[in-house]
Amino acid sequence: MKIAISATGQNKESLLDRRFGRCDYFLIYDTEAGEFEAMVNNGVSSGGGAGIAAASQVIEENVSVIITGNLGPNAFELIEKAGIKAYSCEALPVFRTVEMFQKKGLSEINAAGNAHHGMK
Amino acid sequence: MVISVLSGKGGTGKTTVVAALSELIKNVIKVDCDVDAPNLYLFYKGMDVEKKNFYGGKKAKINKSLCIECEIW
Amino acid sequence: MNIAILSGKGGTGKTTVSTNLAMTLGVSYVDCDVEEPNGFIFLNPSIQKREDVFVEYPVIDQKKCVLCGACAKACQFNALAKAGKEIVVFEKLCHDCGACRLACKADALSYVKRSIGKLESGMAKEINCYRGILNVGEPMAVPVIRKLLKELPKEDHLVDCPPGTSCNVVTALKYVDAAILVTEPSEFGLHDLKMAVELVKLYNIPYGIIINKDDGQDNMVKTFCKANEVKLFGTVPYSMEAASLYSKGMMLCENDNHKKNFINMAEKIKEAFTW
Repeated sequence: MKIAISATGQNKESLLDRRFGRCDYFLIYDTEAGEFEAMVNNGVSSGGGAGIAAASQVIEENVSVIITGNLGPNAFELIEKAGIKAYSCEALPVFRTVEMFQKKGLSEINAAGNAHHGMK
Repeated sequence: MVISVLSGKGGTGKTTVVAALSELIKNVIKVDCDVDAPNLYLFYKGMDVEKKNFYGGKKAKINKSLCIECEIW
Repeated sequence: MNIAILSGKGGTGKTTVSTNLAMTLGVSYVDCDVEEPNGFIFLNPSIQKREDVFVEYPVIDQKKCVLCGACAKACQFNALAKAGKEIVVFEKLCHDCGACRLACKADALSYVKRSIGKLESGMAKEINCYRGILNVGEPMAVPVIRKLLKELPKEDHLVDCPPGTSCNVVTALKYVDAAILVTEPSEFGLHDLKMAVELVKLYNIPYGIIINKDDGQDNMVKTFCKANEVKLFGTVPYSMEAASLYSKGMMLCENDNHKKNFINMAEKIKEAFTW
């Protein structure tokens, strides 16, 4: 399966970005291939609805899981409708967040955070 | 903890209050979200450490050779 | 002839100046600070007409929709997105451009109206008054401003603009022939005045300045005007009395101490804009 992680950089050592809608990159981890792929987040260049653009992009990648800080209400609605599960994590290196997810060490995001609110 | 200072009416003193309060708190980050006319920095003789462009949308470009001027908008 | 009153900085006195000038000149007053229209507090018109301002947003016929996602791809505002087995519409992001319906090949899109605000008009003290009111929480003021200004009758208007220098003000400026910039003699005032000057110059709008809350001295704004050959129409004094009248919602130009000042400024404005 594929896991999308919001990231501050393009490689697996980059730190997780707690924001979803306006994170700089998404790193997509393929559990079968054991590889990371980086892509620029479309939400970054949005005037509004960044969470929607980011969620749409991730949905199109056919991921099953998202690891991020928080999800705003628009992104949350889309992720939920697409049947994707989201988990919250601290700003650790991306590869560590995947390890934590696999060890069941992350809590699921069950509700939207505040809009425009990737930070706590 | 994030505290927003807002007012509805312009010119009531938001920037003044933010500058004053922020001076009384340790370890605080001051954020000027009045992107139309940011004034908070005028209180401080600071220097820019980093500047980044913000890209917030696309500008349309018309290909005149394809355009039939239907003015559908 | 439409004259905009703008400032860059909030709270400099746009509404004070525009309501009093409108009365002095005997021209119509238009409040297009639709987020927080204040002008009617002073003019207190009896409202004769009230209408909703509508925008449209797309509705998807799920029976016809083939889930191709073309509408979402066409939308430049992220108002549509494909998720699971449906297209989700985010009404408040919709800019009413119609691109989604053009993109849809399944004829599954239609539009529905929703109200985002109101236009009101009436009469006060022998002048016509107009205003737009944006509903609280609505993200876009431009459709209200546009409808307000587009539907004005053929007469002279003083257009009380929103603060700032972005979208809302730019929209208002599209409908005016001249501008009066209202400022205050402070660093903040001058800083934002310069931004407003840049804006009117960008759109080639003839302009002049009024200094509100003026200290009667040679201040930084007057220096700026002299250095840049900017017309100064006059000043409104920084006085306890003026502030007191304003705080009670009263008109300065109806007060003997201020009437002549507004008449003088009105004369200078008529002359400058050859009106």
